[in-house]
Amino acid sequence: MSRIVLILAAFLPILASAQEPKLPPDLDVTAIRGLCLQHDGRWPPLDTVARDIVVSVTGNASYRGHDPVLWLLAWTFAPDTWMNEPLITVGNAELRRELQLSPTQTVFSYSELLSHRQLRSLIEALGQIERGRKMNPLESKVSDISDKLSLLQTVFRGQALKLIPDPANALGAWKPMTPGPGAQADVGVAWDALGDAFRRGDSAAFTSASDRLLKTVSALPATYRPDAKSLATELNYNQIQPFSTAWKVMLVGALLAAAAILVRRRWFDGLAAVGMIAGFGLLTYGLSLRWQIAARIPASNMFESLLFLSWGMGAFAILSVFVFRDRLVPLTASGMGALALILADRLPLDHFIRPIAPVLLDTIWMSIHVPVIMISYSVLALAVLVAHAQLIVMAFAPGRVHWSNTIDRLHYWYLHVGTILLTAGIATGSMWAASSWGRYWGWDPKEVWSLVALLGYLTILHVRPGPDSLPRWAYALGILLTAALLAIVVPKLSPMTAGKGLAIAAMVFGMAVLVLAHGPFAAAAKSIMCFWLIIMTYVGVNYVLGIGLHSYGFGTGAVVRYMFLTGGIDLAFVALLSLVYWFRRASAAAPLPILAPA
Amino acid sequence: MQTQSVNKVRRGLHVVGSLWFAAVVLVLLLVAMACATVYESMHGAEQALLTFYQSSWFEALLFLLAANVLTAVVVRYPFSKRQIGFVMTHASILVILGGALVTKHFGIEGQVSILEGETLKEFHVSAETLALTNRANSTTSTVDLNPKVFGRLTVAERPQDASVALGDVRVRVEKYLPDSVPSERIVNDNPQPRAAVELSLASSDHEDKTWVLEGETAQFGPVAVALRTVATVEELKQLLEPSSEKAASSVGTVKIDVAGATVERPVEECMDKAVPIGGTGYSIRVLRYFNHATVGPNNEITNASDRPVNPAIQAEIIGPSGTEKRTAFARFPDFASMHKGTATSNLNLIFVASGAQVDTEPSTPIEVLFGPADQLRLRFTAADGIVTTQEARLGEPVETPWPGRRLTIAQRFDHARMEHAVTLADPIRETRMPAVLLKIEAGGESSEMWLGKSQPRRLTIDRIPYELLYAEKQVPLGFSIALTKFTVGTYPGGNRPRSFESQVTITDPANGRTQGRIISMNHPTSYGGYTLYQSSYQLTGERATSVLSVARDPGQPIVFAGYFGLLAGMIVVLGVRVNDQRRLQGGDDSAHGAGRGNGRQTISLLNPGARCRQQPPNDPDPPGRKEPRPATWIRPGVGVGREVSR
Repeated sequence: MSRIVLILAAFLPILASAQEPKLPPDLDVTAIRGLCLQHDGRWPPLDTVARDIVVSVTGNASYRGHDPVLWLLAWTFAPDTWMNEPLITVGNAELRRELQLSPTQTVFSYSELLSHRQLRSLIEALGQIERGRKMNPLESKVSDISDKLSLLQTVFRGQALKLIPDPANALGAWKPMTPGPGAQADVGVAWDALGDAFRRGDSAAFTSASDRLLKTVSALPATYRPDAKSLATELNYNQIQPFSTAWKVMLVGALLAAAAILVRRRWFDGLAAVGMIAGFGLLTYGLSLRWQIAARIPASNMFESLLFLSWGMGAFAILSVFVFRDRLVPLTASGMGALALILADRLPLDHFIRPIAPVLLDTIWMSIHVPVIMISYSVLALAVLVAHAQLIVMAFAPGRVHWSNTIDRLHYWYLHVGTILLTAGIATGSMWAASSWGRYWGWDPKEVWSLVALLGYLTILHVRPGPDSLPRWAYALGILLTAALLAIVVPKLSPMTAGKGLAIAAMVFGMAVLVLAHGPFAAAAKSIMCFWLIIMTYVGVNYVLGIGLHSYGFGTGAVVRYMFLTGGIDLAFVALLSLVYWFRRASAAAPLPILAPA
Repeated sequence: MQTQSVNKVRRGLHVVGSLWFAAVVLVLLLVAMACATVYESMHGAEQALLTFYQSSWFEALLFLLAANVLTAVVVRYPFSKRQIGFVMTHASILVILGGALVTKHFGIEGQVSILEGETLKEFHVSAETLALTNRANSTTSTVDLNPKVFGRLTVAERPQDASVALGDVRVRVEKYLPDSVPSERIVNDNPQPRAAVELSLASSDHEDKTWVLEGETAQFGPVAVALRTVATVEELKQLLEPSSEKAASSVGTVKIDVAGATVERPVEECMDKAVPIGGTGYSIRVLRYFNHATVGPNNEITNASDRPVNPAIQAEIIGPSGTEKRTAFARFPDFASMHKGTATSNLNLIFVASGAQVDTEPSTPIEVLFGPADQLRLRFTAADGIVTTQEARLGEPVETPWPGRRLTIAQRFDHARMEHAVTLADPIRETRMPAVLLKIEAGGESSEMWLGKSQPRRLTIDRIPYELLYAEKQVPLGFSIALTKFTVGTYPGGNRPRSFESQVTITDPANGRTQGRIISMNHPTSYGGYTLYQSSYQLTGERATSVLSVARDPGQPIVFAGYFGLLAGMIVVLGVRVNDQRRLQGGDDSAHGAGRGNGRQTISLLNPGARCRQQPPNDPDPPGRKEPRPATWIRPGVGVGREVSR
């Protein structure tokens, strides 16, 4: 593909635009939005295609505040104008320096980038990368630009809108509009009229041309095209943007729930609960729309699993309200649910419905395993939120015993249910593996890490509040076994580097904390530690280790950076609060008030 | 006395079944598995399996887990109603571990790679075997190779005692290399005498080494090296003084091809006198002899030096239709055609310079003269044709005509033999080529041979043809499977694969019945105790190869039953806790008088550690002795109940 781009560059007329081109402001695109196309293995409406293409090129669906449909039509019908307009953002200053692009300019035009010699040679070099090698950061950024250029080229050539159905084969490739007479002469006339009206900005002509185009296209012979209802569902889904709306509602719900703790009025609690339920309802509605559109459960990639994460928190919180009439429940659910949705919405993840790998298809297990495991993560995420609250309360307000008791009770409930769900998730995953691959356990890194996280939580549940009254040799045995294991395992990880040594030291410290520390404060701190094991399972195995079978939901390296940064800050926070807690406990005259006998 | 020892055992069991021991084992497993994934990212899945998950210490860890869980259940017998969840949970863990053990010992997992149109009766598993086949009567002896050795990344000497034997031929593995490269080396055990020397050419910054065998040439970069054995002193003398004697006798012969006949005459015989050439009617007269012929600007030929660098003669051919002057170069016999005349064009004049002189042509610039007796000499022929000969001793450097370079004879063998060996690839490559060194014993004699994986070697022992094969273990399916068709389904309008589907025909040899089956992703098929899964595929040219996973696992239903028991048990435990909670919320009083140990049970929802733990009636450690704890963790009932009801 990049080669075609380069060849085209040689013939590219560099036209200096006299004035900044504008999109025709008052065209009615309502009708044309619903034009059915073939795109990326599906038959979505033009609206979805426009969003996908505009997001892929510019990074923002409503680029410069305009409707993506207008952008796509502009690029299709007036390519000469838009070739020379800045559309592609090269945000990374280091990359611009590397490419010797202007340091002050951040947005570049198609023709500008295409005629850029340095970039072209780098794009050409991409073709030389041997198979199996991972691209370095510079290469992946260049490849990203190259993808944008080839996508824009497809649009400028009028190849992006595949609206002519295959008359013979239901799964055949649809064709874009090609000029000249043929079987689709009527469509051609309507297409040209549409383009003409668009270029002139003639709103009346545009409306009538789009109606005609829709009519003539629907008259073409086709073995399959989606019905009007499913197109309408997708348009509706695009219109209401359920997930970004849902997190805003949840955020309001979380603020209300926080305020409810101060207000302490029944009606206000109700209001907070309504906020939580409204956000959850909107999310549920969005998920059901997405399910209908994709014709499969939306649980196939990182974006979709984050949606389920958020949904699981809402669902479990509503359940928990009946067990614990506690104000913390709606607060944590709304807060964490909003956080998960914000991550889904704001992280550089692919939001579009894509074809999925064969192993995920035609199986009931995806609909069982993914929701179960995501809900278990949700519940454990709720646990980690209350665990943070517990640390803060016990470090800074040790006198508030009833607070820490309430939190501890809630925390334990979350931990226990989360562990059961995690076990269920691993069991269902194991059964899926058995039905797809013929073995229920294959020591795949994702399987292993899910078990690692489960063992972490089981350890929390098994460590008693105080030490057992065991003979001394029992403790010696534990230490001996640990030393033996380390002696076996550590040499296998050679060559030893400073980073690895540090990680092993941290690991040994973590082991000691998991086994030895006890009490509500320690349980909270351990719950936070174990949640990072979950995060490692969830994203780390794909992104950090980069191995194994479960590498279908690929994203960008930015995710790893976020993960390490957040993890580091969080664990530093835990360490800091632990110090504060210990210091306070040590400095206060022992025994502390909370240790006083009944 | 007896009760004391019983108490001791009981105490020991309490340690093994204690929560402390459980926590230790859980954390050790956690750490081992986390490290294993890091190891896997460094060395690959296969090695992680061998080094971690299938290692004996990892199994020991799992055994400790099983011991802990089992003891924890046993010491709590007899169980109260409240402990049903606990017992279910922990017994299910034992069931899962037991199922895994069944899988390990009775389960089998492998693959078939089957080409469209092909029929297979066997599948291969990840274990390896060594097979010896007598090709005359098609009998085979096979031995399974220890998977803990074969498949690892480390070299193993005499990895196992097992051997394959057919008749009196016995083959045993002497050495295992995880990755091999074929190599050649010179050894000094040839029963026939054959000379070889190892030479080293050193300059100030680097050193080249090479072996050269008698009768062969070796290369030092672009420079050729030859070895010549010199049997007698006379021969040596001749070599050292090449031109003196021979030049006196003859500089060479004149050879004339004409009308199908060839006539040869020594140059000296024809010098300056016309000699008739047989009965052809032609005569030849050699006018001049050149040692070092050089063609000048006007096509005249002159002698550039006295060294025989480019020997040539100038001759006059006297024929019936006239006389013609021609030049013949010993080293460029075709050059004559360029001087094609008219009168004698059907006559070909060739000058063959005498052997000793052509020898000096600089094709082998370095020559090792081996002998007579133990003497060693080095003869160098520089680019300008100057020949120098020096005596040499083992290990002592000799100056060469090339400035700054010294040549050393490092080793000499008198019974040299080129041995084709196999050596360890270093570093081990991603696409490994494992190899084994085999010791073949037959009729009191033994020999060794290298064998690469999946590379059958044929050999003949006592006139019987055999074949040796070191390859992945093949297991008979018990039926035959043929791939009729393999199809890749794509998403609409693209070539992104949506499904893989193998249409197979299964034939049962017992009744000869044939049936068609379709195997696709997530839709396996079962036959004859095995389940076949679509695993992957390869497209090689027109025909596709479908890779199917084959599995038979009697442990699987046990493990799945364990999963259900585990989940049910955990839910029961949770239910008991929630019920306790309800009761606490319902009324404070009930919490107090609910029987033995209930005080702890009722707060267990607040108390992660108290999960399922109830002291047995004959607990050696009475529950009274406890460390000081935060009030909420030890204050039963009332206070907590109040907190809850808020």
